[in-house]
Amino acid sequence: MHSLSKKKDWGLVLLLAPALIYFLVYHIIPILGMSMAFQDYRIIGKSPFVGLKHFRILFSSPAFFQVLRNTLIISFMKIILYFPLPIIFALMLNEVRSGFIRKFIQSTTYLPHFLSWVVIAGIWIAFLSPTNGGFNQLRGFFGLPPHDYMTDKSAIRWVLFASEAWRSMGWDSIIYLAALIAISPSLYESADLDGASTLQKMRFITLPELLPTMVTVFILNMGFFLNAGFDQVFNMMNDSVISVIDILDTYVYRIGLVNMQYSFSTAASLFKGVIGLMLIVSAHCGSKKITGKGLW
Amino acid sequence: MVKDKYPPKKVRIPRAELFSRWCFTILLLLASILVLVPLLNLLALSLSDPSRVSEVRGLTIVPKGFSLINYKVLYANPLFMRSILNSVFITIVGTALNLIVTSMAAFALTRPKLPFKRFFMVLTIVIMILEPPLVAEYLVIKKIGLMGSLWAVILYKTVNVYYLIIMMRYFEEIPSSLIEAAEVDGATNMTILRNIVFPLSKSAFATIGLFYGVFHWNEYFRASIYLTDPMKYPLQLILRQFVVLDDTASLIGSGALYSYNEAARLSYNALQASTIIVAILPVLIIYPLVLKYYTRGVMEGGVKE
Amino acid sequence: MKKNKSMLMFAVAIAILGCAVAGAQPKVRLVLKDLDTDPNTPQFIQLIEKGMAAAGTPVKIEVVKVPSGSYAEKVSLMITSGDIPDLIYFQGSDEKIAMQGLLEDLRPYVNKSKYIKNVLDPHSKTRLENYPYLVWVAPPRVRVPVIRKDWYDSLPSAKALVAKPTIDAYYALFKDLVQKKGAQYGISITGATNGAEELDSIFDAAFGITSTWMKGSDGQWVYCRVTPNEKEKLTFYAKLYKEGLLDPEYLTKKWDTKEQAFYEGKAGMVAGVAPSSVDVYANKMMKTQNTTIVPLPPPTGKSQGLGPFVDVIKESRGFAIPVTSKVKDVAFEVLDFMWGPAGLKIAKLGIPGVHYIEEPNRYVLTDRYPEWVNGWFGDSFNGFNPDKPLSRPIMTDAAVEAGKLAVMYMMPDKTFLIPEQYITNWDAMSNLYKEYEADIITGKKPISAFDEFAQKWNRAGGTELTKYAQTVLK
Repeated sequence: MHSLSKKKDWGLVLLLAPALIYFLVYHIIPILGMSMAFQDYRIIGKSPFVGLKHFRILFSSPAFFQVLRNTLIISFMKIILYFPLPIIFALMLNEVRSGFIRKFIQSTTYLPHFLSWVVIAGIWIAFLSPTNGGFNQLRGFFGLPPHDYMTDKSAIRWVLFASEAWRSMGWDSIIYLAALIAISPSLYESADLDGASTLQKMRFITLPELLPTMVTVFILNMGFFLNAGFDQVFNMMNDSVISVIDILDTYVYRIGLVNMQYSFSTAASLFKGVIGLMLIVSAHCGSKKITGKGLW
Repeated sequence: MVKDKYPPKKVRIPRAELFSRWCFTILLLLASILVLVPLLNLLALSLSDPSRVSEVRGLTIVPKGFSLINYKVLYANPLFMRSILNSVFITIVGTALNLIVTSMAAFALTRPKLPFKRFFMVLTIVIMILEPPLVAEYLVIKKIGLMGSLWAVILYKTVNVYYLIIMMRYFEEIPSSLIEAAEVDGATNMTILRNIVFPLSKSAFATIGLFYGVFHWNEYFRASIYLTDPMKYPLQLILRQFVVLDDTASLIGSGALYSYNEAARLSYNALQASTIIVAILPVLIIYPLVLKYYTRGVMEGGVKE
Repeated sequence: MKKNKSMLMFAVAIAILGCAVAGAQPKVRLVLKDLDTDPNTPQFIQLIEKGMAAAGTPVKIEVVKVPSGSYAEKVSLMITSGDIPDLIYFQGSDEKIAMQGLLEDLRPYVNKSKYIKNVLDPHSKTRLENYPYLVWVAPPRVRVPVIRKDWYDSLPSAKALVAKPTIDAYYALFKDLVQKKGAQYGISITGATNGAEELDSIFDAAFGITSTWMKGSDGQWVYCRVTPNEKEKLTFYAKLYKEGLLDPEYLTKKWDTKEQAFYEGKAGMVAGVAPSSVDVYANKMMKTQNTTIVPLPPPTGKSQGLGPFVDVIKESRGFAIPVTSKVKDVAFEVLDFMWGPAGLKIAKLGIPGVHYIEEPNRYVLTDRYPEWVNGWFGDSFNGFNPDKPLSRPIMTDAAVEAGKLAVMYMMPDKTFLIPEQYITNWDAMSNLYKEYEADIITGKKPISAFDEFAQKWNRAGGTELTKYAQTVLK
């Protein structure tokens, strides 16, 4: 029909306008401040241009590659390994028929998300305590000797992973639950009539329906790959494990405490941002090729 | 209707499916317990009598003795009740604003007729990844005169690009035929958004609204740097006062801790626990209300083809 | 017409008078961590203003509000955005600002002062000389080991230690604390933030480590943590850990969990900053266990002293006045006033009628005295000579005792500010030390790994830095 012409609807820009104004004020104008990354920022007077000096400082530390490596490994665990967990959680929850149990589970498992890492670190350190922590008590029941996980270099990354999962699994499943609700029940009804099992229904109906959401979440998270969770690492760090969990952000924080804080941390965010963008673009293109769906 | 002629047969659920359903339920309940125990432990700690606080172990969920002293200390802070009001204000106004602006933008970005659509999409992604330096944002806020105003806090992250994109995903589930039909009828974009999109994606609005709401409720840092009048401080800021992160010498400085004779015997950990409970409580109350949308959505989500 | 004219003249006169009055009362904007949230502050400020007016230097003090928990960030941001108070308390992050030439050189002010220059301890004066942007009147921040008095009284090994403090005496005491008093471990330290620093504060000197950089027998300066002395010391710590005398979870203990262990009787000994923290411990121990605490002297060995080394390069915290302030002299006046007799009376005794009651022959400290913070402008009690005696001492005996020990055994440090080009190296080198120290003490690495550490340390920048040290240290 002729009404579905290719003509652009400028009225839509009006809808977009408030968001654009927000971006302009809170993001675009301040982004010009990113020039700090290339200056020795001075509070009074002109900030001298120093080119790539701060980037050089960033990359020149003897520990930089260690730090980068830790960041990548921890992010890999938290973004890629963790990825299926909220989905599985949502799928399982969807199978629970009793509304009461369902509400109970939902109301409880999202709570840790509200706790700050200062608190969660305290909870987990106590939980993993070799002297009277719950986890080691459990090990005792199985006849295993107590083990200090918080200072164990090979275990600490898994502690980060587990505590992150504990904190976020319930909360992160909300997105998927909302998508699950939107799936037309008639799809399931016809599958039931055909005698499909639970797992078959999941494989052929639920997962494909969830695919757009899954892909979106995954690609977006890739943009934050170099973040790796400052608050968590900062609160769980101790001397024994510095070499394996020191990440980019904790490193930048320490250096920035002493010297040229603003310029230096801006250079680091710029670095993270550029890498993040590259990762999102690759994830988007990759995903389009594999699943046919990307970010847009 | 077809439904009346053939009433839904009670489909006999095969054993295997029942079994897997029970497995899931048990696993999930286990997860709930793993989460509940530490929180009940914090609650017990906060309600225990100060002299018996040392008896509270990691797995204790019943308070040792009973005392409301920790909560009394919080309540005694003259700014406490006021800060709750501030937080409620910030959360309600902020979330409403978030939902309106974000949904408008999400809708616009899903319409193929949007001019420069590619450009705007890329722009939003870039904005999401490249966070401007804090100092720059601070200076801009100062320039436009919002320093010290609650609005500087409310307006922060009016549009969270992550949530924006998620919302776009939900909107895309709505069949375009419905929207095109409305366009043919001459409806404006806002009308379409209000009368078609919104009713059909209530669970999306509930979800994103929940995310934004929680974000505002927990907001601490922006409030701490932009607000100067303690009468405007939100709850989180006041609570932090009781959770001093420094060394002992600074603890002495928190005058509020010693405003009772008993207070010198207060356990720092118990006080911290009470601040956590207070911060979580309102969310505990609101969430079940939001959960309603997750069951209603079943009716509205599926669109009659 | 005439009426209007006279009204106008009247108004102008009032305006001029108003300006004169306002002008006579300069305003000082003060920013001090946690001061704005303390309920006593409004009265506190009133007393100061009254006192300063009486002294002939009237002033209006406005306390800038900074929310708890983000003091450093907020102050940094304020300054960066041009909103600069007149009198600023820094607890770190001042160097960056000083390096940009934003802080006043305070030496001329101190020299001209009436009171401050007389209350500064030698270490404070040296710090001021080396880094004239911060001034702080406080005793050196030295840690003193303490144990509960009831345990001290019933343990002969404790008395033996005081009579003849040696490393072995400490070892014997740790053992007794565990075996005879049921402590879970002899000593606990805040490992999460400070590593083994609190242990070092007791034992460094006994192993011959007396400053950050030490001159070896070959006349060359060497970093203390790569010396054979350090290796010996770490062997001792590893032994303590292995035998359960050092808290096995010290690496994850934060200050509050460490203190709790002490009050609950799990830790036999802790090392607290004297006198302020020791005072807190003493009060709290009295309230929870009904006993006070006893400070102990450091062990003798190759040397004897209490750490951490007293740095004289710069103050780690203190007051600064920005160059942009329009009321610099007045701002400093406030500081000077606080260290004169009138100011000290307010600062140390609190609000009359609330924290103390003035009687004809003495000042009686009330039950509410513990609510009063007497260290806002500095922890020191120098120059505090109240005109009437006090009903009881302000600080617990334990704290006073600890303070004396601190002064007796403090060790001045020999070190230098790390230059910009070595900052990232230093970060890597410090982390290397922390990690090897932690692993050796907890037994994850054998003591032989120390040599490996020293090599790695040198490779990470230690060799260059040591060369640099020879040129700057005398």
